[in-house]
Amino acid sequence: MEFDSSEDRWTLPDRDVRIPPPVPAVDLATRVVRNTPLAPSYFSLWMRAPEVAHSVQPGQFVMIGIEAGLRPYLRRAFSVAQVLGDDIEILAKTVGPGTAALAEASVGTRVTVLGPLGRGFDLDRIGSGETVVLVAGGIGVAPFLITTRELARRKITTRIFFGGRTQADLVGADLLAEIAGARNVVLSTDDGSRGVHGRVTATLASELDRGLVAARLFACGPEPMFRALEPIVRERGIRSEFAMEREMACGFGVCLGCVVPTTEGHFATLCKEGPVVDPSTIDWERCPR
Amino acid sequence: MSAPDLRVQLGSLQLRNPVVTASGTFGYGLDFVDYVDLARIGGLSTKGLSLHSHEGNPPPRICEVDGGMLNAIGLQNIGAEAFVRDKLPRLRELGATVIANVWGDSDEEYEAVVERLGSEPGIAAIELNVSCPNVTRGGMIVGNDPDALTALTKKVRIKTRLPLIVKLSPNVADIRVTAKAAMDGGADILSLVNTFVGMAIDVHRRRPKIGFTTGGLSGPAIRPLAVRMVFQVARALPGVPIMGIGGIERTEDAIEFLLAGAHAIQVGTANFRDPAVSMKLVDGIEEFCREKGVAKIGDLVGKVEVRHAGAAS
Repeated sequence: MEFDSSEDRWTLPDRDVRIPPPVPAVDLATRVVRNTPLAPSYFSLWMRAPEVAHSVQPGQFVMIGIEAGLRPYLRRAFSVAQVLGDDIEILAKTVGPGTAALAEASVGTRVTVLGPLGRGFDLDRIGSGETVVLVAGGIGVAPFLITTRELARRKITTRIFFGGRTQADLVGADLLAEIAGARNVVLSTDDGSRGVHGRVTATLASELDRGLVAARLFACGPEPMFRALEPIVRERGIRSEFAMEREMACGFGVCLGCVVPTTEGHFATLCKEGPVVDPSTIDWERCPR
Repeated sequence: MSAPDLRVQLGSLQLRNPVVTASGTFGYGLDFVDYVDLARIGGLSTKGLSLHSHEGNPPPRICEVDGGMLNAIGLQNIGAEAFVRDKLPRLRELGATVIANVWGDSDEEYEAVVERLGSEPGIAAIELNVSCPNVTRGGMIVGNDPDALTALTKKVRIKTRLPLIVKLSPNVADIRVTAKAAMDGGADILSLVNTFVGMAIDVHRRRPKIGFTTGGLSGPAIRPLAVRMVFQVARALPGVPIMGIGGIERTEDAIEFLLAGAHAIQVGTANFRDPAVSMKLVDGIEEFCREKGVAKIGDLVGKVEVRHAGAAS
């Protein structure tokens, strides 16, 4: 299916995401098929990547390179946000030379896409009638579009807590509401410009205290959100998975740059042993602040 | 014209072609099997192995800089024993030419790890890492002191019959001095260069971008520096087999090192950007030879035509 270039709306894929078993990553020399600015400094970038689109699992990522030039030099890691036919989407916020180059990429720009990489969320063995809770902070929402769609396909009830500093940071909120149902999406902003006034972790904690039962909790967001969330899930014994991020040079386990300290005293690579990890295995005290 | 002969002879080490993947950028090889036929590249140098496993430095460990990256991984590795048990059998099945890169935090540990790996079937050569800038013992601390380097090289030399490569640090006033020191200690081959000590600062948070404060600079940014050092060593120590390393990514980059005097090259940071780059270099070098009518890859070695040695004399 091709994009209609006259259609400027950020559209919802009409196809279910089917999840095959993990496959070896492929490295594709391909092109940008669509680039849509979403809010100040956010953008949605679609690339043709059939092998990835047909096999990616929610929470997995790709390494994307812009072929020309030395700045950025390394590829950048992005969660796959959505798939449509042979195409994959990433959602990103411009923060440095890598995201800046991708933000400016036009349709037809050559890119390299290596993936699918890493370990995604465990969506198996969730009982009917159980609720999966998703916690997203800012651009950490990216992996939850594909995840929410897959949970919806499996008819699993999903409750989504999505927070940002301000309303412009709630990119994708309407799309999540479309997929999961508006009443299942709880928005919050630090400045109160949209949704509940306060931190996403506070909103979550108060619902848990009022009786929300989370069979499983998936989270993705900035480091301070993980730090605030970790005691909340630990004290309540909620089985949780955090999709974490570190600077990565390779994305497939060799540069050893993207490590996090584990409670066993080792360093685990987020690219291979993650990016989705069990927070109870991470030594949060030894994580750099 | 028949296919150019890409085989390389470095002392007693024969490689099927001059493209070797550099230590620290290729893991133990097996993470690349989806992208690279390990039997088609000249060889692979493992992540620096110590006698026992080593956990490395606390993060953040890497950052990108213009034209490359800084790293201070700190030699995280699974240890010699686990490498032999868990990685080497598969590497042998795949037909890889394996160079074991080794290090220790004392002379005794260097000796012990060379002894452990130095007669292991499936290992083609030992590469002595005396140039890692990201540890507080061993590594560059040994490699930058000519007398200590000669002494260490002598000690490990008698622990193995395999070809002994000494990987040199560029963080010295004159790399010819340490090159000669390594040869005096009994090295068969020199590989150069390891990373340059660098530093990058996050101006918003006013702290180093790397947890170790400094990190090793690699990537295209260092290539002219590395080419100059290879040229210097090749001229100063004629006949010594050299593996050139530093920011190699394209065919022309590899040829540049050969012309400067390297007999083979190692490709490092570019493996991160393109996991198949080593195979592409093999193809590219063959194509270059074909186009230029070069029958044997050795015909290119040291063939840069200079009128004078410039500041490299």
